[in-house]
Amino acid sequence: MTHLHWPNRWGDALAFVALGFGALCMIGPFVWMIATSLKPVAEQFDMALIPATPTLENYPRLFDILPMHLLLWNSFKIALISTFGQLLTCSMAGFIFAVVRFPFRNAIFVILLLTLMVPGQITAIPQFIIFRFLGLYGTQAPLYAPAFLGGAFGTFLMRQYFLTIPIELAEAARIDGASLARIFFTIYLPLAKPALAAFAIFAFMFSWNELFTALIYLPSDLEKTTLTVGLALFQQQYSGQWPLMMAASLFSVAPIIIVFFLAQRHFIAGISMSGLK
Amino acid sequence: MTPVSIRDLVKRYGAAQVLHGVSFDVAAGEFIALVGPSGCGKSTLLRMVAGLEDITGGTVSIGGRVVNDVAPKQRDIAMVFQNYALYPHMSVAQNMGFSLRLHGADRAEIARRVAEAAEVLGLTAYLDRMPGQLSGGQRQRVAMGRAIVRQPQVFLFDEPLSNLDAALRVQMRAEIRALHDRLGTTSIFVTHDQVEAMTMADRIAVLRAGRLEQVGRPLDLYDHPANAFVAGFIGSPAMNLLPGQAAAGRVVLADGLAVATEARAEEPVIWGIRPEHLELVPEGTEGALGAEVVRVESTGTADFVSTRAGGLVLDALFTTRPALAKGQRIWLHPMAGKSHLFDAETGGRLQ
Ligand SMILES: Nc1ncnc2c1ncn2[C@@H]1O[C@H](COP(=O)(O)OP(=O)(O)O)[C@@H](O)[C@H]1O
Ligand SMILES: [Mg+2]
Repeated sequence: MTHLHWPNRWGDALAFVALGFGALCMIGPFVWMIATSLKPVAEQFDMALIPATPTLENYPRLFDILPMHLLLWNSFKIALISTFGQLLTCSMAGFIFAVVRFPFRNAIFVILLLTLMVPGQITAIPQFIIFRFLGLYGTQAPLYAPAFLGGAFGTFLMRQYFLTIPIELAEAARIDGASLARIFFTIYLPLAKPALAAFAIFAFMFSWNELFTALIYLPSDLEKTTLTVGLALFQQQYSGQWPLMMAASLFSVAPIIIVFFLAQRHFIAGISMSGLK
Repeated sequence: MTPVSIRDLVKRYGAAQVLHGVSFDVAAGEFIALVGPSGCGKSTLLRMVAGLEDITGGTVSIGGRVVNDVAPKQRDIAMVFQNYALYPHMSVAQNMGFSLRLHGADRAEIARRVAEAAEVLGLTAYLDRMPGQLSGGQRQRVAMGRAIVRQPQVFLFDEPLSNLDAALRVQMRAEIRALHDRLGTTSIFVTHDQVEAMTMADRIAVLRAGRLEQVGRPLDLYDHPANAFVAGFIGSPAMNLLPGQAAAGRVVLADGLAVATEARAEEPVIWGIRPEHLELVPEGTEGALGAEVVRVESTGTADFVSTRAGGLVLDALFTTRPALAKGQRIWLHPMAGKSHLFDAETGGRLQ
């Protein structure tokens, strides 16, 4: 018995070392970021991980320089609305692709997936023209409105999940007298909670981290723009002051980390069941 | 009560044809079993009756009305699926009441009818459970309950017992039949298990590769199979079907092995005899076939004996518990009037 275990233990040990190294590589910069944000500016080029004279002064200063509460609120609001839009439209589209048979279904789905390969930079200009035509330039709408038009990634994710639900459920409901909308809202959507939770995190993170579009539509209006734009502006003006930069960066990643820890279980479950991994 | 009529039903998926013009009628209140090997098109046919599949050709009528273009919910049918298709996030009561809710029945009415159905099926104690907390047999009952609660014109069953263990299957078979006797609702029951079909149905329709082979009462199919396929499919253990050459009142099966039949023209035929229609007789009996015992399987009720006779496999079934050993030479005699003759080419019944 012990004989059989030995190779496994060595294998396990090796895996732990490798994974531990990976984790260190991931977490190192993060720890450094926290450490730097706690240093006075004078200490910023000390390589020490522990600040000699730790201070919290960088955080209040940040709020003096930038309207942080507004930026945080804008980012949060836009991310929330985008996430809602994505959940609604992608789950609907995914449902149709998974449950309803119609001509050229697979071809259309493949075309949809191909849009994943079109970089955002290519659609940016036509999109800009459209939003300007609609009179929405300089508002937040261009940052969340597209989320209500579905998306290839979310549609794929939700479709994969819906495919794991036995089609007989939809058929039984049809015989029971349910309309397509009813089947979606009372059967498929409640059963898709784990996938919705996972996708919600994806969508929220994506919108929270979004910079490109926000720079196009709200490049300088600190009342309306997002945290990422605020930080980009800040970086240009205070590039020499690393402790301040790091404090600001921490603000941008903290919500994501909190959301992730809260929903970690769903996130991992969602990825493994969608067959993405 | 409602009759169902199926006329020249054709189903094609692209180039692949699954049903080749199937016609049969289900009388009002009749329980008909649709049986055939896996992949022969049973589910497809049932789903066309339910309205879940488009009809390529022919018609389906329910209660005299052609329903080809009628939506499933307007056909007034209920279907029980092989995997039960219970809504996992709804309680037993909600599962059973779902269709009534969709049809706008009020709460009191739904509760009353769900309670009634639960009573019939012995589910009263489980109404608040979720499907995941039930055993296979209980889930099966809930699926039944969901169907009967609506009091539809027609019940459709697609292999509803095949996920149950053997003992439960036998029990549910009897329960479903008893339920039918009580409700009298026209039923179409799909199964690949001919024993289920034989024991439950008023009549059986045998399907093979998208073609209807025979429709009739269980014992008619057993006694007078219309062709070699039905002969081999209905009855367990299966009928011996041996190729031979008819000549002058005999069928020659192999060198030195022949059985008597009515006089026929000289032609290749298939001779059939059920294992239970072979008698064990003393050596030298007129018309007996010499055979060597290859295998004996005893269930206590009967002994199934597999033998080789002139290079052919011949199975016999005895309820008398003869003492037989592997390798022993025995003599088998076909009971008078119990053998069957089929055309070697078409498989159709001769006689
Ligand atoms: N959606 C489909 N597309 C193509 N072929 C199908 C489809 N559904 C069923 N078939 C084919 O139709 C035949 C009959 O299937 P089915 O009715 O499920 O058989 P059974 O229920 O008798 O086992 C099978 O050969 C199957 O491969
Ligand atoms: Mg089937």
